[in-house]
Amino acid sequence: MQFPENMMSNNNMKVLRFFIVTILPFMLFACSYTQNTENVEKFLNYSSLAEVNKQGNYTASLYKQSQFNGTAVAVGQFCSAHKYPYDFDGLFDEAVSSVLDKVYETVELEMASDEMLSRKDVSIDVKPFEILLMCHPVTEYYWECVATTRLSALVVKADDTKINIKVEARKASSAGGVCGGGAVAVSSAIGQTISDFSGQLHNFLITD
Amino acid sequence: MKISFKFIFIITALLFVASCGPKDVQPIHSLSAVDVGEINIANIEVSLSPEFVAGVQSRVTKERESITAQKERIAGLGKQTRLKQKQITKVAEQSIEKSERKIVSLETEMAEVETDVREGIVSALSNKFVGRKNVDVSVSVNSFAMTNGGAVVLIGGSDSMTGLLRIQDSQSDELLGEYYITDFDTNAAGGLLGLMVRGGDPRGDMIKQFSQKVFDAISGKYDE
Repeated sequence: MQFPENMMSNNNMKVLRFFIVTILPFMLFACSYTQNTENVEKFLNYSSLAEVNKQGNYTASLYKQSQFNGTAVAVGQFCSAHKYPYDFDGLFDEAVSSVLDKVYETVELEMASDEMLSRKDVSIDVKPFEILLMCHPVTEYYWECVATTRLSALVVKADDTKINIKVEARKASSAGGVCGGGAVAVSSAIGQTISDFSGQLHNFLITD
Repeated sequence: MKISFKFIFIITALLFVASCGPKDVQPIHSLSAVDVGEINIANIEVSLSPEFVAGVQSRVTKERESITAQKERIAGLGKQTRLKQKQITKVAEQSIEKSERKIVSLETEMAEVETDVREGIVSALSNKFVGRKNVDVSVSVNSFAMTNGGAVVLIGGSDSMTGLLRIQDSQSDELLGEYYITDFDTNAAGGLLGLMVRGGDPRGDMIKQFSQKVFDAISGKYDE
């Protein structure tokens, strides 16, 4: 590879060679690069929700129309070859369980497999979770990823009062050198979603 | 060093895009359930995404901080000789002037992007869909990045814009279609050739191409 002398000095040529030899294979490999979302926990706030401890023995059921795990892929041209797997099924269950423990003195949570058979003192029917990841250049040298998550659930109490919880979270992060930053946006949006969901569920359950 | 950095960055960006199957209009929620002939566009709304606005505001804040720092620098020149004071003041004032110009440019560009993209889309869609089903079209512009002309001459570069198109039923607000649209123009050749390829109005051309893709998406061109 040759460049005009006035364009590339020897040092710059060395930088370019170094790039071609070491970085380029990595960049191409990056098309199958994956990263786990690990930092969802830091957004979770259910431990700070008020302890209400309603007296009595309560039962609750949680029915999920889809599992909270999968792989996010960026739409569009930028970073779309990368995959961002997420798995927060356990964290979501833990959040719901923690909220119930805060609200009721004694509560038994059942993971329901059928929506109709699971009516208890509290029934939580969670609709399929959606995630949209978009990456784009903000300036020529700085790319950003934005993750948007949508979650809705129908919560019904024994006295048939109900609420339709709808949560939408949107989080952005720098795409980073090889688009790995997309995972940060995905994690942050998921963390915010669970956090907002927990808050709304808690608010509904503490009201009589 | 700076030129080689830019060169490497552009090659990298091109490899990213070229090797990973670019999709300039990607359906997220396909409009295929709706008969295109039935569509009547009742409203067109164009907005800037929260991240776009926050990004510009962050850059404006940095420039304002720079102005404050330069003013403090001028104010704290008491112990310097008069000649030194004059030299430092001149440099600081030039820096302040540059930051002030940058702030005006950023704020003007942010306002103009919204207006110009709206005009482009209205022009591309006007009188094209005159069915009986009223729909609202909204576009949220996520990014709008232009390489300055000098950089194009020196090393090439790329211009790009992205946005999220949503088509909703005017009566029920039901989401009928959702598409992520990218317009990406590379001028990697650089030099006068790159400048010629880029054309006389790259900004206007990019908005026109983006608007055409909005029209194509609503027309069903990208539905599977």
